[in-house]
Amino acid sequence: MAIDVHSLVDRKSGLVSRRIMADEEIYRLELERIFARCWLFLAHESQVARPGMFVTTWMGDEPVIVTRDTAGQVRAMINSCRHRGNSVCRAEEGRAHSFMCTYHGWTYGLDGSLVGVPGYDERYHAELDRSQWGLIPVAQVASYKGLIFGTFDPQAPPLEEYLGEARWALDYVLDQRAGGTEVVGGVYKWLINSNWKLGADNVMGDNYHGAITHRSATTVGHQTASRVERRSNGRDDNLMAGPGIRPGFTAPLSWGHGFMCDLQPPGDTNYREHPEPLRSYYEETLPELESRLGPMRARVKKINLTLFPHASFTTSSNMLHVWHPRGPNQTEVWLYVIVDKDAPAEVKRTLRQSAQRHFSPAGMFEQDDMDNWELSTKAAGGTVSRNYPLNYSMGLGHEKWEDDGVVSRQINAINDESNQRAFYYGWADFMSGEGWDGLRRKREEWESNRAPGSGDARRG
Amino acid sequence: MRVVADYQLQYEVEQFLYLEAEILDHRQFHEWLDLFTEDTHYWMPIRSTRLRGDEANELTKEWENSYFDDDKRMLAQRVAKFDTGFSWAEDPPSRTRHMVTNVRIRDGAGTDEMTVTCNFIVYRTRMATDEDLWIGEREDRLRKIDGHWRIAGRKIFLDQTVLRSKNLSSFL
Repeated sequence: MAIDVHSLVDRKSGLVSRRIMADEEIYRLELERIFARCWLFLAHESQVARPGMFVTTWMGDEPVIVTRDTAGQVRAMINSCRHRGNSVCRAEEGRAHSFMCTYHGWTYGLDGSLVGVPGYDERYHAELDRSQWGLIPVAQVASYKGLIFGTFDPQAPPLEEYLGEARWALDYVLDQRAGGTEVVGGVYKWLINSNWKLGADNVMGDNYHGAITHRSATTVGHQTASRVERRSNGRDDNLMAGPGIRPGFTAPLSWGHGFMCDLQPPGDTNYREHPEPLRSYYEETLPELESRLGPMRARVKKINLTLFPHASFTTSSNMLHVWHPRGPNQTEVWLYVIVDKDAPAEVKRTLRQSAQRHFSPAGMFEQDDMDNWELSTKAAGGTVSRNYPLNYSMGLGHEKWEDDGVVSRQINAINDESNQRAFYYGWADFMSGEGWDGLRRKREEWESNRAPGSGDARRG
Repeated sequence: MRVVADYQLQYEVEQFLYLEAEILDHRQFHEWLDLFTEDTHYWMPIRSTRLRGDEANELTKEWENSYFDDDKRMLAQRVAKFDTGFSWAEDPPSRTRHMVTNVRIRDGAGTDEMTVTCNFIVYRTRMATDEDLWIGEREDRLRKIDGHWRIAGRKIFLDQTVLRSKNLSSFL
């Protein structure tokens, strides 16, 4: 394996090699160094609310079962019998007392332990140590405000440390109300012939594409359900605004995380143009939100967040996209709709429809994104073109940092590519095989370089 | 006489569904909209793989997520999107072929409103080699208005669980 990872992401110029979107060898290394090490989103707790409930998902190329065991603990393990490797669970979700392999009948409990082996006495002479042959466990499983994450790396830092400053944005998604959140029933799942990173980098930072990619949807007046939405006769004011035109910031973070945040001017909550029932709901719950999250987050219009590597939140319609890699040029997109548990049914319905009309496979926005990413991926594998890098340089060297103790943010332009650069810097750090101590040093270096007024934290 | 009436109605319903398929395949989307009643509901739930015994949960419910959950206004907005000149997923446009089979009148025969089910195969190809195949069952609520059948509701039950398509920018 002779891949010089750092040569693929050029920090001085903001250029990224096209090879990382198409190369099979790089993809294999991603599975090993990113998906087998990072904390990955597994499920929402409401999907495994009671003992015996399970969902199946992916962690990189590994099929995983997530359960709640009889003791009430959330468990995650690889969906593969230890005897011959067959799947022990074939449904996407449901309820079970145990998981029996349909090949020879080895049977596992909800916690993954091997509880039954046909012929244990007469064929194995009671010598098989069943305690050693449970399903392969996910090394660490933890929850953050209703979201379950897992990592295959026993050395990975605690989940809260891994999420780091991204929690400021994540709390906006999960913690506006005391009752917490739940997911709407049904996960959208669809296959696209695109590299997984294109979706992840788009959601966290791409405020540039809307004016062109989504012009058809905005032209016909399609709107989102952003908590604070300034509506302007169908025109999306989100699109071409330059520095200073609208308040907001980007938060390019270490370890590949990042989010962007649109803010309303102080005192302007502007709910009046929201259709019911959202208007009343947003008005009524604003004091609760503000008391839980503080004044700045009460002004949030929308937040777009990617938790490295592959979980992307878009608050404009309460969505979580997970970009499961299925090869260098294929992604299985999973879309969840997250709503406040205590919201009235009518509000949940409006938010569910907003997500469906906006970003499901039939969504007015999503249709056009997918088409672009497929063609970008296709072009990344060209013998000649792969030597020509992709340009992520927008705004490089013009970053302006501000930190008043609320959140450290880059305020010069919300329409630059500082978040995408942070994603690929983090990608390169993980791909170089850096250990967690080294990664912590990189994080400190990043944080110390973004003093107010300084340029790109990692430039040079 | 009953048999003749049944034949006639069956023929009428099939011709209506074939006409609709032709209108879609010929990209006459405004004419297609005219086939729907003002109070129509166009709905396509998500299917998931479930264990035997849990089949009742195979399709999402009305209060859960769905690919389409559209009223006429939303359908019209989708059609208007095609006409903007910026609808990239449909520019160049998809080439579709709607095949409708197994047409069965379920209830309401002889009245002005009935439930009709059918199987469908929709083939989509686009640009050089893109191909999609959507197969499933439809349940249509047909209503006769001024002597013409109109679609007062459509439920689309796709057989796939993971959608093997980059998007659903076509109608089923």
